[in-house]
Amino acid sequence: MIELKLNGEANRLTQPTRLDKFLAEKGFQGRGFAVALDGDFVPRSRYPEVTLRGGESLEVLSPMQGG
Amino acid sequence: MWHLPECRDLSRLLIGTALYPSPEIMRRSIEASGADVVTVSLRRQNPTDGGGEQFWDYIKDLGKRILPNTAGCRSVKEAITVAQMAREVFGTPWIKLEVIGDDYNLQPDPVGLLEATEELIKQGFEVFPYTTDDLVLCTRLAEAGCKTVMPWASPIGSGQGLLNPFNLEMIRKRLPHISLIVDAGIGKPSDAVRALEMGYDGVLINSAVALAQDPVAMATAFGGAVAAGRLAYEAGVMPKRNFASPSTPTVGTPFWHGEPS
Repeated sequence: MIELKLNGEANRLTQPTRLDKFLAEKGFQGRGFAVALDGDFVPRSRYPEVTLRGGESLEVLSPMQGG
Repeated sequence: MWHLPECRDLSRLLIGTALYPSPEIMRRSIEASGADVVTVSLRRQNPTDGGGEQFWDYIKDLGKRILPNTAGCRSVKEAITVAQMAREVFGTPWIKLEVIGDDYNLQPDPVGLLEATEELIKQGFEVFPYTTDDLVLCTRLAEAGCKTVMPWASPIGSGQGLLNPFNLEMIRKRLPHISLIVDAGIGKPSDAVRALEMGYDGVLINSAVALAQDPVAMATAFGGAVAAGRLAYEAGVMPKRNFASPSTPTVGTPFWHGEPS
């Protein structure tokens, strides 16, 4: 079992998982979100190249009202 | 930005999308304001609640230009990362750059703001920096390549209006070739008129409309204020005098009993 944080909350995975698969499992679909991994932006085209191995901190952000 | 050919006809009122009583009142307020540019943000959201898709679809349907912000970022690194994420999600290189230096009054961190601006411009962003009304900082931001600089009138959401008009006028005089937008602190339409009369190119408002008792009516009032202020600036405001000067002709004044000269 490996652990990582998604938007500040603890998540567990049974094995290393590709970022695109992880996001789909968590319900992130479409193009209305963007991802940062350990504080660095990850372009959408790179999701299949990134494997989550535990210990990471993911931010997945979506459009919201703003001033 | 109004010096750019594609922006020449844009409204000088920019408006935020937050704090409205409902999405429908937000939509009607934005339409009533006549604004062509709306600000949005990025936040953590649960995909099972729609994950921001519904809001984004709603905003896209308005057909406005999008100016994403980096609200809440407290470091250069955070602001740069959120700007990159915003560029991908919203499909625009425009970014309203906020690097907050103080939690109490949400005052920008001037050092971090300049550093983040320089990096984002290198990365091809069109940076709209939210800054304090400091002439030297505004100058440095312009030198870094910002075509638009956005000094505050007073702290975000305070509705205090133009607390230091001297500073704002000085910035306008010293940076004649930069688009200047007053961002933050505008409380009522007369604040917007004043900024536009000074020669500011526009104002960015949110709370002043969203928190009004009737946001749609207030948005209409702001649209008129910005138009009046700009027209007054172009018309040329008369110089102030320290003495009275009668506007009614003195020739033929009734009951005049002065000595003939």
